[in-house]
Amino acid sequence: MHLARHCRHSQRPSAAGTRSRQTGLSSTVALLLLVSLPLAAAEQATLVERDYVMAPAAPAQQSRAAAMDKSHGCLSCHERTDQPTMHANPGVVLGCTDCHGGDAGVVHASPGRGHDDAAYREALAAAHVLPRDTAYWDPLSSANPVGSYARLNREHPAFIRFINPGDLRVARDACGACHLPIIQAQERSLMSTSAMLWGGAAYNNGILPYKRYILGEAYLPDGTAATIKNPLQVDDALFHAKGILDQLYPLPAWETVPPADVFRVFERGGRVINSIFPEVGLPNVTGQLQRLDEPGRPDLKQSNRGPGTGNRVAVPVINLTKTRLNDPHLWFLGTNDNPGDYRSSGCTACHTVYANDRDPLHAGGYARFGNRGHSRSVDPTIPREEAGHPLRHEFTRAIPSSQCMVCHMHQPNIYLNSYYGYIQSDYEADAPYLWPEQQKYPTDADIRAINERNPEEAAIRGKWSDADYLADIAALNPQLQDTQFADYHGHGWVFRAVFKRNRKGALLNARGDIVADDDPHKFDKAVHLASIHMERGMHCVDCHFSQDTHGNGHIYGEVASAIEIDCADCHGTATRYPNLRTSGPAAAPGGRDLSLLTTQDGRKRFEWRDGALYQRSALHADREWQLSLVRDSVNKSHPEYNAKAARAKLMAAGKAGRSGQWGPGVEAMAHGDDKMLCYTCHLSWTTSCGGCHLPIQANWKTDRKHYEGGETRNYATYNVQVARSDVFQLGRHGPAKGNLIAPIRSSSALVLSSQNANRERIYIQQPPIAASGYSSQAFAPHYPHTERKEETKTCTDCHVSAANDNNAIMAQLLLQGTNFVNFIGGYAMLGEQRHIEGVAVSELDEPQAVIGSYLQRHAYPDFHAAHLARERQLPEAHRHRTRGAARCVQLRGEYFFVAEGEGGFRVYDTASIANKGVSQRIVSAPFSPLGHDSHVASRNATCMALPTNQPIAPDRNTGTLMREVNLEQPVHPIYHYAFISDAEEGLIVVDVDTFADGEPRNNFLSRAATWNADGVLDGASHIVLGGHYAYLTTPRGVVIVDVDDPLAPRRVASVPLPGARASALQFRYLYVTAADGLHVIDVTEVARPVLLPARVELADARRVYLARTYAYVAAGRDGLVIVDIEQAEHPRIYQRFDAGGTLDDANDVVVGSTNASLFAYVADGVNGLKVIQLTAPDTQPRFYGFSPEPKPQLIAERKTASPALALSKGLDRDRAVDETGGQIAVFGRIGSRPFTAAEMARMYTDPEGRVWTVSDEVRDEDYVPRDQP
Amino acid sequence: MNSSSRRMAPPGKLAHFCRVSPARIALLAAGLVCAAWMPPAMSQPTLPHQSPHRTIGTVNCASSTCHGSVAPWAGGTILRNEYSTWLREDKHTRAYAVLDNAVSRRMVRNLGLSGPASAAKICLDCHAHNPPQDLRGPRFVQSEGIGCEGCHGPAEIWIGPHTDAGATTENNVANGMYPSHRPRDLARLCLSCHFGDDTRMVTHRLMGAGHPRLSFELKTFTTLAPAHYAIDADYVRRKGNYDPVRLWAIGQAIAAQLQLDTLTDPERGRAGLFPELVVFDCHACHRPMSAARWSPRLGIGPGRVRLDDSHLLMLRAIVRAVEPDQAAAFEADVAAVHAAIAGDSPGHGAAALQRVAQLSRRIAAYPSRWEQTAFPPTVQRRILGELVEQALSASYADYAGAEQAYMAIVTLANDLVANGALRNSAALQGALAALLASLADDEAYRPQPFNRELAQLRELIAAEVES
Repeated sequence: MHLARHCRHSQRPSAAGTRSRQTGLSSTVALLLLVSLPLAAAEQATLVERDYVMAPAAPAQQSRAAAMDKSHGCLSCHERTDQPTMHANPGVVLGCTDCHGGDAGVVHASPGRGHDDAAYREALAAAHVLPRDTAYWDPLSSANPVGSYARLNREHPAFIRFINPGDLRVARDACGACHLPIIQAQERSLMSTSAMLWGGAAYNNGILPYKRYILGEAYLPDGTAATIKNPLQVDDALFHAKGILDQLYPLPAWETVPPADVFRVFERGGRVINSIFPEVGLPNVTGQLQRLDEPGRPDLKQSNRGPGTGNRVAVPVINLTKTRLNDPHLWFLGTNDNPGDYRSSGCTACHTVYANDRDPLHAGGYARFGNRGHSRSVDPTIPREEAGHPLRHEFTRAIPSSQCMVCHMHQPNIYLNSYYGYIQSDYEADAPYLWPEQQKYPTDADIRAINERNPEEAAIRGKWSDADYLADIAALNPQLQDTQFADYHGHGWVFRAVFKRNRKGALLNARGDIVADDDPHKFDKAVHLASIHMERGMHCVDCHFSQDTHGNGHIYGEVASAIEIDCADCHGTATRYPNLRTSGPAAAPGGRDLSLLTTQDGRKRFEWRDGALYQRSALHADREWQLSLVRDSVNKSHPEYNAKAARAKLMAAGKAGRSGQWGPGVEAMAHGDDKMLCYTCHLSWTTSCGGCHLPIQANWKTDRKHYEGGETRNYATYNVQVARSDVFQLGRHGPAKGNLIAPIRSSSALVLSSQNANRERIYIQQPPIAASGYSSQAFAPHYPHTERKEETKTCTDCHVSAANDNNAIMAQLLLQGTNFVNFIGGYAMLGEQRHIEGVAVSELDEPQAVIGSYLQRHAYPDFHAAHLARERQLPEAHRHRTRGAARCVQLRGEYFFVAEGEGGFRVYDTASIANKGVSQRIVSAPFSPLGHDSHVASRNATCMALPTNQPIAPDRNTGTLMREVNLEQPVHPIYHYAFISDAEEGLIVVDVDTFADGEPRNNFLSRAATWNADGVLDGASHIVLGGHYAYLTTPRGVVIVDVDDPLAPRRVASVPLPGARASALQFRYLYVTAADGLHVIDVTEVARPVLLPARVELADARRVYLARTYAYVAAGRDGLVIVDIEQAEHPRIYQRFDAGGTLDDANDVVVGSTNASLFAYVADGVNGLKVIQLTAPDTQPRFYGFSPEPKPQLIAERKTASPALALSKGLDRDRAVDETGGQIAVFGRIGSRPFTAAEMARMYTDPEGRVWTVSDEVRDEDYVPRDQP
Repeated sequence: MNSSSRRMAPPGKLAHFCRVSPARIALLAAGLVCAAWMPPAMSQPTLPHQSPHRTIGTVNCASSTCHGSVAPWAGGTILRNEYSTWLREDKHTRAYAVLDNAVSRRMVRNLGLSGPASAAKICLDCHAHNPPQDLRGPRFVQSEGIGCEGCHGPAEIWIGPHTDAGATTENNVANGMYPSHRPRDLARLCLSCHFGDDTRMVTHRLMGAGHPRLSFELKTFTTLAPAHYAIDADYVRRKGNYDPVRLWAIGQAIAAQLQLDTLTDPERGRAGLFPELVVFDCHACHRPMSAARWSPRLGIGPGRVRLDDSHLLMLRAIVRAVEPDQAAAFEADVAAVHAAIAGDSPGHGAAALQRVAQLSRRIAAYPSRWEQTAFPPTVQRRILGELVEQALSASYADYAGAEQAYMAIVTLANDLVANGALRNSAALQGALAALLASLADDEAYRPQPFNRELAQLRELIAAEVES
């Protein structure tokens, strides 16, 4: 068959060269066709050379006698089995060796004797096909070994066929006579290629500039890497419309992939620090040519050999190769080490079931067989108590979700956990059950063993690294206070249940009533937010039929594009009943006829009876359910009528809708299926992975888990720091999904760290930059599978509420961010009277607990005790002198942007702040002052603002590749610049792109523009950007300046407000501190700002920080004042916090999240840095709320070098677009994006710009019957 | 009303079918080669519901690579989507499901059955494949209605060998597969439910309880089912020649014979004092008293219950065209039966049964003869002519006869068109549509409009037929 594997590379390709920014595919091909990496000689020596005989392919037809000849000897030991042909169908006539190979002529002479019998073993060795690597594959056991991964690629296909005829390397031989088209499709499917992960990771992290992904996993039978082709020639139009790809190449070896990042260690010029890797042909191998650092300027560059050598590699590629993420996928066996990890490879991976989960909603009838991978086969040779065997020797189409979950439990491959109502646990919920009482000090051997089972670094310190503890951790549920744990643990992870809560975090029951925090049965009473489909007893295969699982033969790069089923296919729409034809992006023309589908036992899956549609369970012969039909739910005369559903679905578009009219008589519908996806409203919650930390350590010798395998140095653990369930955001899907409005989630944004061979932290917690130049704080449309009938999104989740209590919700919804989940990281960065300073505030190992916090107390009890013994003083800080008072500071990437008064504007290099090999951790000139000048002089730089604190590289986002192939929006011009307020000079604009180009020799700054028309900015003290509007405070009030053309600023409006000091923006409101307290300005119409009458009286309000529904005011001697701004126009003081009188000169405050907890960091002029834990599981049981009430407690502090004036905001993790529609962060999925400014405005203002509001109340007077004109 | 039932033709109504399929044209070509095919002598095969073999379940046939493909495969001797065709379009899939509908529930009440219809043997025997408990395999699902094994026979023995590379139809039949490719056996199979046989019967009592009126015509119903096979060269090679007119003719003979045999059966033919009324024409009694609709055509006078003679009417046309020398004897036998049933012949009951048995014996000889008879266009035209001419003798005074005539005319006309022996296909379609319209409602049937349309058709055919 010519459709697959056109192009067979006889050798494993790998890559070299610089990071590819070329626009042509041909250049990429060239990148990928290079040297092969031979296995180390020592490893090859362990492989036994044998003469393998590949059995003939299994025939489609044969006589029963012929088949029996191929089973004869096998049956002498395997006396009986479950389904001899694996198929329940007696029409399938196969012998054992048809599928497995081996020698059926060998008959065991002395049946009844076991493994110890010499004759038995001799017969076994003669009959079976034996491995090359006998040390790894136990010839006496058929159990899948633990963590086999790429070891399959070193075995002869005859052996692979023997242990698993369904493996894709050999399935054409074993299954191809009857199932060839499915095998061909499966080889190209996402479940085999992993293209969505590799393509997304490569694009989002700047490794490859192709949204038309080019990487994917495939092998030839002998284990060599293969390129796979789509049978169709795919042009741009087809790619955009259908999301299909033309071909996929193997992943290059990580050692040869140049760094994509612009971190300082990757820059050119390293002379002193040679590569400490064994490299061949290295000139100057001993570094004799130049051994001395320049005085005061340690040489950080890692190898003088250039990109793709030594440590100058792309860290995410190491991850893809070596750290277990989604993988293994279908080309490899499951890891068979944790409950939820037991499975085979290829066809067998899904069609034979293993015991993985004891919850019947997850595992159906298989739940009773436990979660330890034990078999129930009647074959007498299969041990019943050994992990790694399938339940039975039989194929099934009744595949339980628990089998899907083995792979689909991770962010990039749909995160099936949310279907179950689970999310990865965050180490804080029920921490006493996750962490040992005595701090663990794992040995290197412990760490290696644990991280092979579970890539989380935190696991090495936690109790769940114990396999048996983990396997039964769900048994603790009755004792737990904060959450409930799941019973499956793929990758060794712990998952927690998500419950219905109000915005403050209180648990709610089905009626919406609060369940008391101390109710011992609270988790029985609160609604567990699993999919309504799962509650009905549905499994994945009840919606995702043959094509969704096997693929349709095209190569896809995005999961959603590869799906043929759509909600409407079974539920219909508000205007039509379902036609039972698939209509998703991957559906064939006209769709698949679902009425033809049958269950495994032959019952029709879908059936209309008396006007109702029923579906029969794929897993349970006796179970069926009636489908909700949308058209009935909006029909007043139907028994299934639901007024809330009808109102939402039949809400009028345009003016009528803004006035609340709804009903079948409306002219056009606001929420029609031509505008939005069903699940945009019908989800109950979605995951948000605001940040994963990948710390690479050079000293770990670890296996490559793909391709040629083998051990190399380097390993990166995988640490989900911010898996949240409280974030709901909207944007636009790509053309393959009709450009419809879709829920958007933060998707696997990364921060990277690295330790070299000397364990020097050569960069820490650095977010990469996407290939499109946007921030890599990635977002993507996502279907979370958490659909419910009652707990859906309502009007006030997406539109301004009549009570005007959802300003923060709107800011989050539109992806403008809420400053709540911001990432502060290892160092709090301060501006001071005469210094800038970075204070170490968290552990740098995982979990990166804030020092003194609840998490530190549990994960690092010894360190916590030491911290208490130090009277909570933080021991480590690094500083640099400034030329003036540093009143505004911002960390972006490895650079620290500072407005330092008479010292002007300066950008410091903080790349080495955690590097023990560097004495001066913060530097102003990494080279000589002549080679680098990141200073712009000004008379009195009072403040500065960057349009985003996420690292960006706007210059990458140009050209036809980005515009026409990748369908990226242009970056707004403001993103090239920093905007500085100067009390004497006004607004100064400086182009700072040079820090994002990876070129160290051009880091010179100069003014691009200076503006102070009519002196309106005289005395300017503070600046905040909201898109292309700058809000500056002067002693006279607030001045709003439009920097749409950054080089020609234009005053838009002024708001008189004597004594204005600083401001902060949240969606429609600007909160301003002034001499008399905190004020609110309505900036819905920026050109017509309205100073509202409300005011919070404060004697000395200095800076203000808005985090969701609270404003945190650094209020001088009053300390930290927390103001409730849920009612945006009616702020009220929630609490004053002065840390027992030790916080009495508060100048600035920022808020950030670490794991599940919220922290405030306060810069106090007299007292230095104060770290305040705002929520913790033991102080605020409602900590999972959107905005729980803060319970501040001082947990750490440090006296600063000089009076602390300012703090750097943490990395925005929920901000993808600015207030004027400028995109900041990368969006996965071709053609998807955040809303434009106009689209955002339509959600809450009419064409004249006036705000309209909604309520969730159903009112009869708004109903428009069908016959109304 | 839901979408799936909307897509189906309303039950009990005849769909208009006159499309000429490519398969049929292929058949014609093959037919020339295989015209000399002779059926082997054979004994009467065991009907599926009486098979001694185990039923293993339709699911075993439904694999996507066997018979459950959504679309037909190119190449090979089978379409591979047989199961999908059955599941998607064949009403036999609904046979079980209707046992739960309002009509069935009413019947259960009227019959005084203790459980639901889906648990009653009397219903299940025809509304499902209903083998004895000990002959049901673990994957047998009764609710699927009349599944594969309900017609093709329990598969316990034949399913394995039938996938062999060298499997033949003869081997399959020898292993217990029912020979549904033989018209005579097919007719017997279908009629064993669509009329009834000695083990199961839709009696007048069931009709009285609310069972919808039954009608059956082998050729039409196998086409409407729809066929899940293609009559192509390999079909003819493996299963013999296929002639739709022959199928129709043999179906008529078997149906008539079954009807007559029921009447003579001392068990089935009696219901207390009365004969089993289901073999009589429904509308002989079931019509308003005021409807003065008696016709003298049978020569038995008014006020007498008359046999449902729809199949006999068809046979008359066939015999006249195919065996003209037998026509007089046949017609005499038919007239004698009518007269005897009406009580016009001496001897009353016993004599009448003798007449009936005599006619049955006569008809019983037809299928084996007709299996070896060619039905070329000339013969078909003759039959068509006879069918049309019967209108002149007021033969279609009753609905059942008219209905059979329509189905026969469609079959013949289609085949003539396919053979190029009728050319004005469009006009023909129009005439057939009008004919069908006059049959829209059996309760309101009047022979005059039907005869009128028939007359129109006659002119059209006369003008069209090449002499």
